[in-house]
Amino acid sequence: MKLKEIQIDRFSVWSDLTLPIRSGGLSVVYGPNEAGKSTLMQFVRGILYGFNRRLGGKSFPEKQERMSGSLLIEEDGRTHRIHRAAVGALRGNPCLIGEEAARPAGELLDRLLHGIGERLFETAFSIELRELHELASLSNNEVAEHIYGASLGPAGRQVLEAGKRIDIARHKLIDPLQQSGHLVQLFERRDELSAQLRALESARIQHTDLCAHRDEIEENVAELRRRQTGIQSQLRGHLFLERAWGPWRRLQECERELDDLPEVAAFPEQGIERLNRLDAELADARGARDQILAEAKSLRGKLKETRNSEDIEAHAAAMQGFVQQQAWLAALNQRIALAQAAADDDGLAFEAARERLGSGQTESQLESLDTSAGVREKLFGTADSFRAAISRRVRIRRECRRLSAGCRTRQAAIQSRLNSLHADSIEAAHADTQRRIAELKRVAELELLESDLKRRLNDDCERLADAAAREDLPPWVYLVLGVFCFAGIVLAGWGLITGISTSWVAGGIYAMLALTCAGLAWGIRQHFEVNTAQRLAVLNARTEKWSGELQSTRKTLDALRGTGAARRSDDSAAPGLVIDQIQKQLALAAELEELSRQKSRLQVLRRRLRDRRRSLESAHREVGTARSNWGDLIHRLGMPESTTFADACTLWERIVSAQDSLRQWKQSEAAVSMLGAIRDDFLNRMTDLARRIGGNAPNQDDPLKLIEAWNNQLAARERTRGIRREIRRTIREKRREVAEYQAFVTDLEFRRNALLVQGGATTRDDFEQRARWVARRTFLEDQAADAQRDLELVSQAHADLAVVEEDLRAFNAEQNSRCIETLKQEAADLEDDVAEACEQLGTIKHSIDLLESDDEGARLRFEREQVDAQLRSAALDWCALEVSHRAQHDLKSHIERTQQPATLAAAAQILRQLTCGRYVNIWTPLGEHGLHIDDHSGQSLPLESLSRGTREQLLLAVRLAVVGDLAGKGIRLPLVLDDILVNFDESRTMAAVDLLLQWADQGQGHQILYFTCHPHLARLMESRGVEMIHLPEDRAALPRLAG
Amino acid sequence: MPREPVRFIHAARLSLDHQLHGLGSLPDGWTEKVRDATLTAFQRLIKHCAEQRVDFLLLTGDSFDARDESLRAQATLARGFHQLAAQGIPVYVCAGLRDPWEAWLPEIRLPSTVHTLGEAGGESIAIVRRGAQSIATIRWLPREMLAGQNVIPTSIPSADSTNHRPLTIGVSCFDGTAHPPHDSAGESSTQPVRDAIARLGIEYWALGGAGEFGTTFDGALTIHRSGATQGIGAEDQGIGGCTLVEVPAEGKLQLTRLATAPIRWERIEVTLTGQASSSELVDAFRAAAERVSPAPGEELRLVTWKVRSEGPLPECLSDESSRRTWIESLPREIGSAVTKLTGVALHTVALDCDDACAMGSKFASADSMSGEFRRRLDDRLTDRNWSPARCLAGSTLPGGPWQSAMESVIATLDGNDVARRARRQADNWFEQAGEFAA
Repeated sequence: MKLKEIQIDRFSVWSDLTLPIRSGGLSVVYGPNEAGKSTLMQFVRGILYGFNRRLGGKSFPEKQERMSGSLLIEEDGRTHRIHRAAVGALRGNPCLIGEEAARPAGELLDRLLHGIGERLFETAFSIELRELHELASLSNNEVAEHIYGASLGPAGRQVLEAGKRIDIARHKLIDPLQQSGHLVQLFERRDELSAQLRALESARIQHTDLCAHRDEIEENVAELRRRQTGIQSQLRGHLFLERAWGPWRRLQECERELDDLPEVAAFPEQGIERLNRLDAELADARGARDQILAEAKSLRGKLKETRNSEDIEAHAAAMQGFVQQQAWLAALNQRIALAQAAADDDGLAFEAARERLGSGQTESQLESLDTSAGVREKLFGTADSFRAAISRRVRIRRECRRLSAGCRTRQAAIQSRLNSLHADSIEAAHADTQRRIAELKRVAELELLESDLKRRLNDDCERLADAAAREDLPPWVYLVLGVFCFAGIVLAGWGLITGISTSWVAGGIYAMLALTCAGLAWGIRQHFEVNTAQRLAVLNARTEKWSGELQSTRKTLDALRGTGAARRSDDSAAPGLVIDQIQKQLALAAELEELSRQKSRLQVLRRRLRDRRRSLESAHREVGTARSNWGDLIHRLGMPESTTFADACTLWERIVSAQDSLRQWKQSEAAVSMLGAIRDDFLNRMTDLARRIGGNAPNQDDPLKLIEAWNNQLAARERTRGIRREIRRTIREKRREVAEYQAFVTDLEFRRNALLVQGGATTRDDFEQRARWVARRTFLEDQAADAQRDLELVSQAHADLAVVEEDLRAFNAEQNSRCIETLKQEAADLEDDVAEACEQLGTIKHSIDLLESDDEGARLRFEREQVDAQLRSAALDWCALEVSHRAQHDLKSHIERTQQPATLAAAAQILRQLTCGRYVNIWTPLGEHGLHIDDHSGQSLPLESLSRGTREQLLLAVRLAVVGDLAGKGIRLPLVLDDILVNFDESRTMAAVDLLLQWADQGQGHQILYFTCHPHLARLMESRGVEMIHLPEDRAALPRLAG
Repeated sequence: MPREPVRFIHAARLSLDHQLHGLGSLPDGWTEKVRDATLTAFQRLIKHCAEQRVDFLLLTGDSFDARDESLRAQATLARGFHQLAAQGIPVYVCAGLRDPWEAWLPEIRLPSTVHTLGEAGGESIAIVRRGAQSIATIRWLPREMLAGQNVIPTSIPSADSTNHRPLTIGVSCFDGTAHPPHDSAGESSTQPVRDAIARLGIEYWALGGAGEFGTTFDGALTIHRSGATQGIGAEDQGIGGCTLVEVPAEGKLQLTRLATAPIRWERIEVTLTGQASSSELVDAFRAAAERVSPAPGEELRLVTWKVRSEGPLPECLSDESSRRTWIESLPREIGSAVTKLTGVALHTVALDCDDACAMGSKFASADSMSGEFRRRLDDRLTDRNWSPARCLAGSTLPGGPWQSAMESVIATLDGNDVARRARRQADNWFEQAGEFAA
């Protein structure tokens, strides 16, 4: 596509401007500032894509201002003039002018622009200096697609996505600022734990101090104990002296007294005591001998006075026999009384049992009744059978009643529902419902068809009206046609006049012109009117068809509504009502289905009821049989026929009880008789004995009294006999004792005389004097021996201490006691000190134990070990992430350098040319819309770090590469550049001009319009043979060039 | 000459009050037990000494970690020694790399039955007596001597003039990888050391320091590393405990492992032969867990799962998040069953998938972008100058507040782990990025 002419009716500052343009190569449009160059560019964009109120930061046009104009475009040797007009903010519709006026302009524009969007056109083909500078303009999707490639591809996405995940994972572990992250948390926790552990160092110091203190106290205690030992040693010495001095002194005194006493040789040992004892024994023996002789004489007299009765002596054995049976007799009496009481009780129990029977049965009748286990089992078995039959009958009867009630309830419910539906049967109601549903569905379909036909009819009527309105030619057409007709008539008249008056040739020409005008007017009118008539005819035919179908549908609907099935009230015109009715009928149908199921269940219930009634009859028969068996049995047992099961059981138990009571009573009576016979026999034997000893006969009621009397007599007899035996024995004993005493007295007298001779005395006084001397000597010797022994014991107790005679002689007891007291006081003080030190030591040891057993450190180290483990794991992750991040970065860099889009590669070539070879490569980071360039030394620079001129050159290169890329695809649009070289230095400006010329030459074939306000640029380009178009400075005076 | 029968317990790396690491999130109620695990193991060691009626206890280093500066550790150690002293059991202890003698607090008193070996100014040879009879001599073998430096061995004092000779024990403490007897580089490098040890007449060489439980018999010499009484991290696999050494009058020494650790680290491998579903995977894990017999006193098992798959991994293990979710469900799926069977609670620490399947990326074909990425990643990771520390240079961290902290953490990382993690992450990213791009 190439521009051939810009024709502006009115657009911003321009009006009535026609700007012819060379259809190939580079054209420079020169005009000073505010000449309207940018407006021209905006106009070109506006014609192609629609006017825009705000483009490039300027407002075009003013409110409600009219914009119109056209571009003459050449393509494939054909020209098209595309016109667009708009008012205010409207973008306006394009149209073709001229021969193609009938063609839709939109299609042509789409074809000419090859689908290039407005944004891409503005970015790549219509470039202002301000837009050139903006990188953001390249970030639009449509544009970016050409620059950065349509897609990164799966591989690129994989790499980018992996990189994102790596970064996320790294930042989770530790963020770049090292302020947060899992690792930071772990480090902080570890530091915290380490600080707490360091704080425990004070415990170690405390432990060391305590141990030192402990050692010190232990040394103190040892010193105290040493001192204690010394004092104890001194104390022992003093105590030793104190203890030794007493025995030593006694020993000395005893030895002195012994020296003064006369010697008595062979004095009998314990002479005085022995003499006294002999004298005392002699006196006692003589007294006892005389006393015993007197007692023996007295006893002999008493023996003669003590004698028993002869009769009692003769029958004592028989009496003793009865006395021995006294307890048996008492027991027999008691047993008889008990047996009699039991017999009376049994008799009463039997009478009570017989009364409970209530049938007046005699003892013989009761005894004759069979109450064996077999009869009992038969009775209870028959009763159980009878009861089971009755229970079964009751159960079946209850079930029958329940089933019967259920049938009635269900039947009533079904009938009630049928009545409410005004139906005789479920089947009829169901068929009626189905029919009504079908009718309602048909009505609904027809209503839908009716509304559809209405809509079509309305649409066609609207189209018809619209077509009629649109096909009406505008008044100016009629005016033109009128002008043409008028001109034809005038020219025909003028030709006639000219032909007649001057020249027929001229007249003929005028006539031809007239004919041309008339024909043209007729032709145009004919063309439009024929088309309009045909389209209206088609629309009319369709409208009639829809009307016919609508009428038919309405008739059918009325017919259906007339049936009553789909009757509806006036207010039910809403289409949803039919659907509601259908839903109601469907619900009714479902309810009828449910009723049908209930009826089936009712039939089943009735069948079960019949079965149970048959079972009830059978149960009746079984009850009758059981009752007959029961009656026979109780009759046999002598029970009334009306006896119930419970009564029969009770009666049976009473009969058995009465039989048992009778048996028990008879056994008790027999026992009483037997015991009475034994008692009578015993009493007879007692009477016989009483008669023989001449006493009273026993009392029949209380024979025990007689036995008790006999027992007393026997006891008195036995006592008398005992007394006599004792007296005789005593007399014999006395005689023997007298003899013994006599011998003893003789012996004592002999021993006394021998003792006196042994003591060297003849009298008792002499003997006593000599005995005193001996006793004193013995006492003194014993004292001396005791003192000596005490002295030896003291010495043995203190074997390490020596006894020094001089010390004992010089011993001062009072002074020694004072020393002992002093030493004891010191020892006690030391003991207190030791106890206090030990107590202190115990406290310290306890503190040491507490410190040594404190597990706080273990707890902290345990936690630190776990944190360390987590740290190692996290650090492992971090290292793995870091190395992966670098590998990913390598891979990304590789892709960025080697797999760049073709557009950027082409842009790199253009940039190399624009920058005279300084920058050799353009690339974009993977996944980003940012541009980087590499200079000839391989250094990469991001766009942001470039100078303004280089930045513009880079962005121009990228745009041109996009244009080149599109051209490669057969899309060639005119390139409109608005003073984009102003920031280039001279050499790069020359290079850019060369590049533009190269692009505009026949080889490339791009049409380039370069707007500039800089004369040097204009001259430069003009010097290269570029056509110059000068914009008028006075736009109001611009002459109209069209024509 | 026959030997004097003797029995003693050899233990090492008590690491008292040192805390276990790499546990993940522990189940409720286990924190305190895990925190006191080393102390519990030590108490069990003391109990074993009493129950086994040993003649003495031999500790070959690393009784605690000096970096912890834990009073509790040394106090617990001293209390244990006092308990042993009360039962008449002497203790022979040497310092390791982690508990040098300088770190032993002088204020915490040890009983007189504790004999320190190799301490400056202390004993380097100790004679163990049973009454008047010497039953063993223990000799401290310093690193310099084993490294072949010119250290003249001190002659061992002659035994009592009896008809029985005492057992000769050598003690040294090194980390396992650097230790000559376990040097895998070659027999020749260790043989001179062994010869030197043999010349000293040592019959039992007790080793301390890091390294797994193990025994080497070299003629009359038995070299034994007791391992830790309680494993500290996933590198301490298996049953933590001590060794009961019984020396008969004639014949070889008998070594019996006695478990002490309440917490056990275990690496369990699961091999999948085909495409396995989640439930099959759970079954495989459960079966593998149940195959590991519980040790006496074992209460909690910390498991690192290793999955080898010949085919593609199950869906639940295909990526990190799925794997994490699946691991969280493991205790519910198999923990209770295993606990019911073995009486031991189960806790998953980590789940590693075989490189062949994890790295066999379905995305990284040679001509794809992910393949290109993997190639560039591999170029970086296989560069011989590359190390995790290089990640810091060029990142945003240098100059920041966490630089030094990060450097110290990164210094502990293994480059292979980083490479493996990076490759796995790359697969995930390109899988997700591929879906996004598609």
